[in-house]
Amino acid sequence: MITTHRGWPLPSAAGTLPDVGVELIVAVIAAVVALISAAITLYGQVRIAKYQGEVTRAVEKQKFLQSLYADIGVYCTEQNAALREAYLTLFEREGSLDADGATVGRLASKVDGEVMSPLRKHEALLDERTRAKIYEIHNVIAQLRGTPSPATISNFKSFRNDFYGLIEEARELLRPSAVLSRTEISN
Amino acid sequence: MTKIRNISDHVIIIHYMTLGSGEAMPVLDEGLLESEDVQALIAAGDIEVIRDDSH
Repeated sequence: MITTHRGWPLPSAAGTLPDVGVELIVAVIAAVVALISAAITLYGQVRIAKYQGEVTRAVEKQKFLQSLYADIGVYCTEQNAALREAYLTLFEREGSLDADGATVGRLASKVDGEVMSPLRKHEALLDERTRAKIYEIHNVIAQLRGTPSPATISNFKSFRNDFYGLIEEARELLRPSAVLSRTEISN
Repeated sequence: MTKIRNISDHVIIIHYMTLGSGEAMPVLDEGLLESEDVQALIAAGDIEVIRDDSH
């Protein structure tokens, strides 16, 4: 370094310009590195947020399906029990269909209400096949409502095996996983 | 056995009963067939009465 007689450094135009150029390049490189680093961080955060969103949606869907499955399970249990009880009440309990028309009609109304109660509570969750099968059974029992004629009661007694067959068909349909699958919500 | 089949494209209500399009139900109460609403549905071509003697 060139100095004065007192030892102070002399300004040198030739020495200053390269120093400023290097500092500028270093500063630009540092800024670019910082920008790239920030961009990578931002990109990572966006990807993580997107992934977290997907995971959250998958978990929410799973929770929804589990609660739906639980509700359908309750429905299937209640509906199966009501159908079995209807069969037992109408055909297995002594004298149920041997009473007068008005008494049979009242019994049929009660049984019909019990068969339709689970369906009405959970109808929004159900597929068309399940609904149609329960309505099919309801449409048979409902013909005994009011004051059925002796001929109607006799026809109903003859329908015993078919009625049992309808309940068995319903039992096949009333499996929670099958109902859920037919709703197509789980797909 | 006699059945009523809904041949319309809409749900029909007969007394307490609900019959979807294309669905059929056994008739245990023969009086149903004589009732005014069923006769009206037959006349309108919404339902058909099927008699199956093989049952």
